[in-house]
Amino acid sequence: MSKRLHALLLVCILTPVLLTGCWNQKEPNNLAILNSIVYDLRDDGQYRVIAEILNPSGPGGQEGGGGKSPNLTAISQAENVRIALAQISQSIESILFGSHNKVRFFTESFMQGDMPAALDFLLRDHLTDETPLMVLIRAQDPVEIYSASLGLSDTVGDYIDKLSKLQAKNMPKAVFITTLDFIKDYLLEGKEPVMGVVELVECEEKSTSEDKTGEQGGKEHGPKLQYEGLAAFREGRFAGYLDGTETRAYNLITGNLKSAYYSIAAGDGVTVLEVDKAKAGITANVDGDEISFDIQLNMNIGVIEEGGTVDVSKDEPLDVIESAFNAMLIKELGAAVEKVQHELKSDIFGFGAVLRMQHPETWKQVKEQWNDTFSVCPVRISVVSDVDRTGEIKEPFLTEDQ
Amino acid sequence: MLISGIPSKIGDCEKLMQYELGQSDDLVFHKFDTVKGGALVVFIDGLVNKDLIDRDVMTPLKSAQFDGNPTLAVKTPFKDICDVKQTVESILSGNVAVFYEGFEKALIAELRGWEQRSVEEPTAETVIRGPKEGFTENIRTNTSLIRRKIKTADLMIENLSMGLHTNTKVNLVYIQGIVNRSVLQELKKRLSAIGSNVDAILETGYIEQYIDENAFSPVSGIGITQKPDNVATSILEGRVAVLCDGTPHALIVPELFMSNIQTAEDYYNRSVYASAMRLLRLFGLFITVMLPGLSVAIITFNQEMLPSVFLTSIISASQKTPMPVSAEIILLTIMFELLREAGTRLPKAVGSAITIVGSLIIGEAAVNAGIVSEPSVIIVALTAVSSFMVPNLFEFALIYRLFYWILGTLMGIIGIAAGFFIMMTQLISVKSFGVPILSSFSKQELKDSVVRFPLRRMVFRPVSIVKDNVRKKTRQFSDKRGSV
Repeated sequence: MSKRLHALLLVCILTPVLLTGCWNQKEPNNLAILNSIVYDLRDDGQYRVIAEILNPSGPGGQEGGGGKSPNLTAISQAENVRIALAQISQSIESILFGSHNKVRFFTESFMQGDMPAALDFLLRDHLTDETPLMVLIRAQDPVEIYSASLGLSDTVGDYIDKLSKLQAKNMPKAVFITTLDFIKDYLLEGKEPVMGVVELVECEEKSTSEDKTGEQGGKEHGPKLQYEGLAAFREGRFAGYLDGTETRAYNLITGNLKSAYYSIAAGDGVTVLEVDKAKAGITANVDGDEISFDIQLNMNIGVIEEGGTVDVSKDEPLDVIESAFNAMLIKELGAAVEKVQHELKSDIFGFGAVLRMQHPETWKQVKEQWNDTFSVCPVRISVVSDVDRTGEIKEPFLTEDQ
Repeated sequence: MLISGIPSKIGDCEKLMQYELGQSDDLVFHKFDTVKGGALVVFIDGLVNKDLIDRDVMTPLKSAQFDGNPTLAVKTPFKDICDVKQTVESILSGNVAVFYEGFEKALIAELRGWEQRSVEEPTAETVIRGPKEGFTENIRTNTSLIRRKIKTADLMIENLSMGLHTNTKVNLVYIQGIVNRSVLQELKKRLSAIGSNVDAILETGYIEQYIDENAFSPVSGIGITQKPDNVATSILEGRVAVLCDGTPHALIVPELFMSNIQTAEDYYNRSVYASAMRLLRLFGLFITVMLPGLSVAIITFNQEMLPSVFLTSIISASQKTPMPVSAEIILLTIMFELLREAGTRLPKAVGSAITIVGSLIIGEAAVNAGIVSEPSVIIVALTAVSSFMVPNLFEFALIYRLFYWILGTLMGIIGIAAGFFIMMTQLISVKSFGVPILSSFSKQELKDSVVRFPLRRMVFRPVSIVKDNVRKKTRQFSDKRGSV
């Protein structure tokens, strides 16, 4: 009995002692829930941090709004990020709680600065985690994104988070990169990381938010957030942007494309095609000193709309559509690869990683100056597409008789 | 007065009985003369049926045809006893003693009759389907209720007398051939060890505490029921029931942990529904034991486990209140226990008003006054409601709820995990009369533990309890054709 009692006492006493990491009790009403955060580097070398904090008495909270804003933004700047965060915590007299953070925004200037140090901070701090998305802000003043008009979401963090969770399939022209994805690419030999890009665009059509009853201030009419394109990095620094179409090519080549629509002119009208199940394979060829790459794309496409009089239920017209589509895609991909090779000089497609796996000896020789070597490597692109779905009607709606 | 036998003179008999029984107000000594000689009737007023005494004892003795032999005259089954001590015990337990001039024996007639409650539906174990009758305070009525369900000669009812002063009648009920003999022997050993060494046995609760081997465990290995159908099911599964005169609560040993989430009704309803109900009760047990601790752990340590919207609601609710979440929860729990205890002791009609209205009104007012936050009220209310789903595990739930609350407050989710480990270790180590209480989870007994299989598939009795005749004497049915 006494032995068992002693063992039990030992367990009870040792458990709390050994689990000292868990002595971080935080009362909920002392927390400030961080929803998204912006890291910025000012011209004067000061780090600026903008924190979007959920307002507990806002619409998310229990009081059901009452006119209060759903979030509040706190801004602070200091000589390093940690001090700036501490100042924010101090200014809102609560513990800044980062585990609910959804998006980490960075500015161009921050990413042109000392990125390895920033990543080191993100990974070293035990209260930050790897799930938030990493997004580059392409705007003059990063604070402006918090006054942009959003969809149905209340906060910018929720907006981007919902896009990545619900709309990724409909957004072939964007990339959603979490902190973990970014760090994996960053550490992988022979691949450079990329990041999603958000920018502010002026609202062209105001009719969508013309519903006067639902208006609250001028927020609905402000510029809106556009999440499109990607930012490429080279050796730990920002290298340049790819636009939406180029990003779609990037997604195709890296095998991340979930679904995309293309319109091509084949025959006497415009045909809209849907691509899904795209498979990409990269092969590295070494011939003496010359390294070249082959990109093979295999995809199933479906006919969504046939504007002309092509009968897509027959084999021959389909061949025409397929070859027109292949030619268009090769051109689009070629342009993207060209830009990445010569303008950005950053191997975001991971050609180096392919070379490392397929020709490890060659990789050892070239890895030191890989980005320079990569930019002059010939890249051949071949596309095989197969129309496997033509929808529920066979003949075009507009027949030649009409 | 050193007399071991019954004296022949009626006057000496009276003096002897008065000496042995004392001068109590309810003692009746009725001395009268018959046509042949003097007679004395001794009984305790209130314990006997006076009409029957008059009809079956007095009238024949007083009649003119009385021939001087009381054994022929008394018209009711009787025993004749020479021993004074036994005579006194018989009178005290409600028999009528008849003495006759020169007979030198006492005639003991069983003419008991006292006020007693009729068979009613028990207040605790109410059912929708199935028999509604419950045990009464009379042990004979109770054994008859069981015998009416199990009409076999194998049903054994063994009598014991316990308690130095109370001489309480205790019956062991089991089925010969099915009962686990080692459990029965162990039970008899423990009962005889207390036997007349204790002052009083007033309720089965006394017996339970004296024979319980796990005095410090929150979960006991002894089941309690007020319903004869529960006893019948249990003894048919090889268990032993202990009935005690003067209480409607019967004990059942050995009791497995899962029996607490099973009800007799499970076997009357269809198996899919019964299984669903058992799963629900298991979930209710989980809620009532772990919810307060788990919620404190998540709300104060591991907020990342909550969705942002939920966390904002909790923050906004707790911003208006002065106390930490953990303190709110324990205070509300104590308040609920106060109301519950008050409700149990009050008359039925007032009791329900106190519990429901009291908790509602006080809970609502406490929230409005900003003393506690709504989420805490919801958590405690849910915990309290769930505790009624498994009434037999009330003590267990209360103690472990407190345990998890402490661990959750001190160590968060890691503490809860450590607590679960400690709780499981403790539960696994508990045995009821040699049977591990978690043996319902063994492979052979899974057909009747968390879920219940259709009756025709349940051909084995629980193997952890029954050692002989494991297979039920049911004819084997095939599922498709109805019979083999």
